[in-house]
Amino acid sequence: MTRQSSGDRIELVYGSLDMLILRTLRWGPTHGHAIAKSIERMSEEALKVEHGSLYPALQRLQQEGWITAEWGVSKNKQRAKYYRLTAAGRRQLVAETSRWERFVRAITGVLRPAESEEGQ
Amino acid sequence: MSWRRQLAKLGALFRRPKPVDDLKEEIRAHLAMEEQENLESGMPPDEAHYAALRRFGNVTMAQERSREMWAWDSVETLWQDLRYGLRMLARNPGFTATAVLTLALGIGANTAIFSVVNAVLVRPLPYKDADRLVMLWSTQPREGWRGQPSPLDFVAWRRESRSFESMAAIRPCSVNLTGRGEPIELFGGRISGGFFETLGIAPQLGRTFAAAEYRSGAERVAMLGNGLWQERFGSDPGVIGQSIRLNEEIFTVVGVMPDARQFPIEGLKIWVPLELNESQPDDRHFLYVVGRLKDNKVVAEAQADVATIGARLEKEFPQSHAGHGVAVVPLRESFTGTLRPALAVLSGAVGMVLLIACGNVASLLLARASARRRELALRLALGATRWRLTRIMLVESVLLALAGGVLGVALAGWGVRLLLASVPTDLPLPSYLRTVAVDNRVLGFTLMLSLMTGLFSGIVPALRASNMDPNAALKEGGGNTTAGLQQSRLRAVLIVAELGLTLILLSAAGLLMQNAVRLQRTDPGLRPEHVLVMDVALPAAKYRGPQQRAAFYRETLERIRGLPGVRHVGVVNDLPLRGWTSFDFTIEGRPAPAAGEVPAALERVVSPDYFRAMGIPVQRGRVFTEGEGPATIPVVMVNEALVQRYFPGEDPAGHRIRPGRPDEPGAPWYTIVGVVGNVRHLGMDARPRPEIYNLHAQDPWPAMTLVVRTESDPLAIVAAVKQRIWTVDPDQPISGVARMTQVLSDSLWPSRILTYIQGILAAIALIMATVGLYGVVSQSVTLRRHEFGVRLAVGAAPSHILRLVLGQSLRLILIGLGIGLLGAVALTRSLTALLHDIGPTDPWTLAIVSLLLAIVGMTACWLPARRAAMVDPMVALRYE
Repeated sequence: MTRQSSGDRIELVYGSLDMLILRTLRWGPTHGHAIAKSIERMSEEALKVEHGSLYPALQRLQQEGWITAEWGVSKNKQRAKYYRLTAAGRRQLVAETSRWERFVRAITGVLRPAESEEGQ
Repeated sequence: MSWRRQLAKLGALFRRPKPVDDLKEEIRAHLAMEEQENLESGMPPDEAHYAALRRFGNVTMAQERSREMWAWDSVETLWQDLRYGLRMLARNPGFTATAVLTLALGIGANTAIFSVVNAVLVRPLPYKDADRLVMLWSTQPREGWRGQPSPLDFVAWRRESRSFESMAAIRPCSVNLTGRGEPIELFGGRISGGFFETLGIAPQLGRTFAAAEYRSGAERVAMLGNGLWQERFGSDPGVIGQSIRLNEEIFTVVGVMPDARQFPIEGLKIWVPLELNESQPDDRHFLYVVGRLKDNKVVAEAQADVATIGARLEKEFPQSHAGHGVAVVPLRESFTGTLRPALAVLSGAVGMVLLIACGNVASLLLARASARRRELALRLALGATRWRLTRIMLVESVLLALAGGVLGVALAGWGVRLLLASVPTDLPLPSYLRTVAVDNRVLGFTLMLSLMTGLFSGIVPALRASNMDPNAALKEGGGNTTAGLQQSRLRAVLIVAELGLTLILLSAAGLLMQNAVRLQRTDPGLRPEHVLVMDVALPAAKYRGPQQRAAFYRETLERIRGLPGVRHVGVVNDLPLRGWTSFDFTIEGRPAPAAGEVPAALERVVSPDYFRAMGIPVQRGRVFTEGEGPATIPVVMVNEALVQRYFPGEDPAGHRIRPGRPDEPGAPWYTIVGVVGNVRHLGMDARPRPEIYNLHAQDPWPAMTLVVRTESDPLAIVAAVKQRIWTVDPDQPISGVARMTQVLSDSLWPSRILTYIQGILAAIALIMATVGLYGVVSQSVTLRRHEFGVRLAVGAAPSHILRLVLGQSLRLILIGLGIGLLGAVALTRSLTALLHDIGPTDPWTLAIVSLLLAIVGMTACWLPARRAAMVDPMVALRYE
């Protein structure tokens, strides 16, 4: 989703940002900035999200009905929009996650065939 | 995209505040939080702010993208683009006017021709289930003749065929209506039973004829046309049952028919029953036959059906039917047979004109896109998507095309009015073919055409603009660039294609023009100048006897001859180019001819002075004399074509002929006394056929046309001539007053109007291509100013630069000519049906139009070439 990859940051695979957002929201409603920070923390700063690219994704997820949004006030009295996972979003997260895991397994299998053979 | 998202977008269109409205605030909050965090981690305030912005990335792009998420197919931004497009077009009035005018010419030409195509080929014929209607024709395949069937054919077809729900016939006729105001000659038809029922037309008042009324001896009945009913009967519904006087006989009016939807031609005003002697039908060919196919039958089945009957007739009546065939033709084709090839040619031609217009506008857009490169590059850099850029450009070209469409419809309306005004009033066309108009279907066509034109002319410039590299575009300076050169190569390709199309159009126009000139120059065989003609048809019932009819015309001619300003006066039954009748004849002393090879000739009945009045030269022998009549021996005159065909190398004078076939004795023998020149009776493009002239005094036809050769303007003495006729019979109707030159010119109208239209289209194409060529060469000269400056600075002569530019222009023109010539040779074949005496690839025509295009093209290149040669090296070098 991000345009540039620089240094040691890994460019996000298209579509994986959606999954990361949904995953972040699993622990409760939060605002855009916190989502961005959370994704970076989860990946131990390896995945750097260009914060701007988060917002189109949030709009898209809202349209799909996977998240809802409402205005609230943050810890430091800042008005911010809070996003909440819906039931549909929860189901989507499960589906996305398993798809993602299949994808990762497949890539791992391609990249390290010998090891996976040994594993069997 | 899922349906859920589409739905959400749809909702967003109507909901307020829109989800995107608070996006700005949300982003601001985000940035504030990030800044706060940065401050807390110990950054100085300035850096904390910029670090937050850097981290966020492109704010505008994030907003744009988020907004696009909510815009349904970007309806909102489309509106923005529309307004932007309008502003851009308004800001460049010169460019806009040129492009709109170019497109208006292209679209207008297409709209005009399509409105004719629509009226002739698309719009349903005004009969009930008109696609089931067919016409049945007699044919002589060997002679390439197709014409009217005889009652003999009609009776057999109707009785024996299995493919028709119904079949009916009409014999056009003229009758004189008297006793209702001024006496008037009306055109009408004798109709068979079921005539209006077959066409699906109901009377607007009263009824059609009953079966008993078709029998001979029945009470005489008539139906009136709506126009006649209004004009002469004051739209009185009580007319039903009233008596009227037709040809001096009493008829009872039984019904009134609507004027529209007449058959086979418009303008019929009265109908009476056609008596068919079913047991012994006439074998002369004077009917028009229409049939309604059964629902489960197609034309081919009906054709096979009647062909079987035709074959039986051929065996049974070899003398009259040898070599005859039958053709079943859908009604529309019967009407439009001659218009079809012309319309096909014109449709192709207007299509090409539109392509040229598109090429020019695409070329203009390309030039402008290169002038706008920096603006577009900036938009890309600021986060506009490439699709959005493509769309901005397309929206502009579509706006141009729609404006062109509006103006084009106005042009087309004007053109169609001009076209209709040029149709001679007595051309036998059904009136629904005359009602060519810009209707809803035409408007729909034009709208689609405009949209397509906009996309077509805009797509290449739009894609090129959106595919550019914004870095390069922003870095480079003004004009002289690789991109500029690429874009002028593309324009060169466009102009070559335009030149090619123009040459094709010019060739077609050249061929048609030559054809028209040849037709115009064709010797009609008579001298039409200073000749007045008018129809004087005697009411059959009033002038029952041949002597009375002969006496009327003798007396009338005598009185007119005495008028001042009259040189010669005569009468003829059918004016040249207006009508004809044909008959079989037998030559005395010759062996009986084989079936199908019976001598035949056109027949014309004239008074002795007719030849001098019409200016037809006498070649041999003598002319009829005033003294000849019923008491003297029967005489005829013949034309040269008859002598060549039946008396080759002989002097026909003194030979005798008899009307009718060898097995039909009874008619007297006529002695040939003289030979006159051929007259193009059937049309200026038709070869003269053998012809026999009878003397009116010996064969007094009732309906003659007066031919008066005058000393000055023929129309000046119309009143005097009419007065003289009315001194003989004050009730005599007179119609069809015209100059003979007009009769000739009307007969050439189809070829003339086709030539005009094609000529106008070719001229438009030539102008557009020339303007386009000028634009391309101008721009290339501007791009190469620097180069020319250098060349001149290092010692090149201005004439060298001139030759350089002209040489390159000539190369474009020559490539265009080459492609055009190939196209012309391939496509002008479609003109074959419209040309006479000239081949569709006439080398002289092709050579002349090629030369014309080359000269006009080079002239257009001369100005920019001269400008190139006049470049001041110092200025040009400082230019960058």
